[in-house]
Amino acid sequence: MLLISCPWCGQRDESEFTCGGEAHIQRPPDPDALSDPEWADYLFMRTNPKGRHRERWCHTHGCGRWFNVERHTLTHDIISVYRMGEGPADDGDGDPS
Amino acid sequence: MADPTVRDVPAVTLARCPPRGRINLRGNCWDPAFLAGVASAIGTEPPPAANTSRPAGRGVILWLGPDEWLVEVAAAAETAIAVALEDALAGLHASVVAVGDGLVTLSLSGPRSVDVLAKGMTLDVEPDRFPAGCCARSLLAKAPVLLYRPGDDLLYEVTVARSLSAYASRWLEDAALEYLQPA
Repeated sequence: MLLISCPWCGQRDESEFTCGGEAHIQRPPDPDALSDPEWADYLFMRTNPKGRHRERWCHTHGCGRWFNVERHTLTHDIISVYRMGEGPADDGDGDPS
Repeated sequence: MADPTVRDVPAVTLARCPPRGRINLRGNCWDPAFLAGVASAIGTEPPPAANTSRPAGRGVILWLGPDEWLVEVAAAAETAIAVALEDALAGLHASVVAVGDGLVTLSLSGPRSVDVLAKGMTLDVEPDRFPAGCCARSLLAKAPVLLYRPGDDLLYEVTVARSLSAYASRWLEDAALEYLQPA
C-alpha cells in the first residue's frame, strides 16, 4: 500500500486515490494528419518503464484533484508529487517531460 | 481507555443527526469577487486552508477541495441560503447546489469513538492530529464519507450519501459493539 502526499490534503492512503496512467502525454495538435499507426501509438502505447515513472493520480475520495506523481515502479518509492501545470523537479536524466 | 471514574458515559454513542440543509459550493477562491459574494450571502469567506472549517452564521462552511466547500445550515434555511448564494455569485464561474436531502449525518461520540473510526479509516483521527474544526473527505469501510469534528470533545460527524447511510450506520454499530459489552 502506498502513502501518497496529495499536493492539497497531505499524506493519505492509496485507497483514496485513482491512478490515471502515464502523465505528460500530449494530444497531437492535428489528429487528422496522423497515420493510423501514429494515432494508435498515441492512444495505446505507453512507456511502462522499470524505474522512474511519471503518472497522473486523482485524489478521488479526498479533494477530488488530479495531480502528478513521480514513482519508482520497482521500489514503489514516490520521488516527487507536483500539481497539474507544474513540472517535476529536474532529475538530470535529460528527459524534459 | 475510558476514565474509570466516569461510569455513566457510554464508551461510544452513535446517533443519526436530524435533517439539515447542505449546499455544495464551488468557485475560484483566488477571485476576490467570489470571496466577497460568499461572504455577503453567508457571513464569512470560504476557508482557503485544506481540511478546515469556519462558522458561517448559524451554520458552518467546510473545506472539501481547493475549489469546493459544503455549507451546513438548518434544514429550513437551505433554500433561502442557496438562493442568496446564487444571487450573490450571479455571473461568476461558480456553482451552488442544495444537496441536503442526499446526505445523512451520523454522530459518533464517547471516549472510544476514535477506536471505532480507526477500524475502518486510514485517516488519523486522534484528537491532536484531527483538531476541533477539522474536516476531511475519506473512506470509512470503503464508503466515501465526510468526517468533521465540530468541537473539542470526542464527537465526530460522519456525513455519508443517503444510499450508503444504512450500511455506514450498521458498520459503525458493529465496530462499536466490543466497547459496549459489559466486561
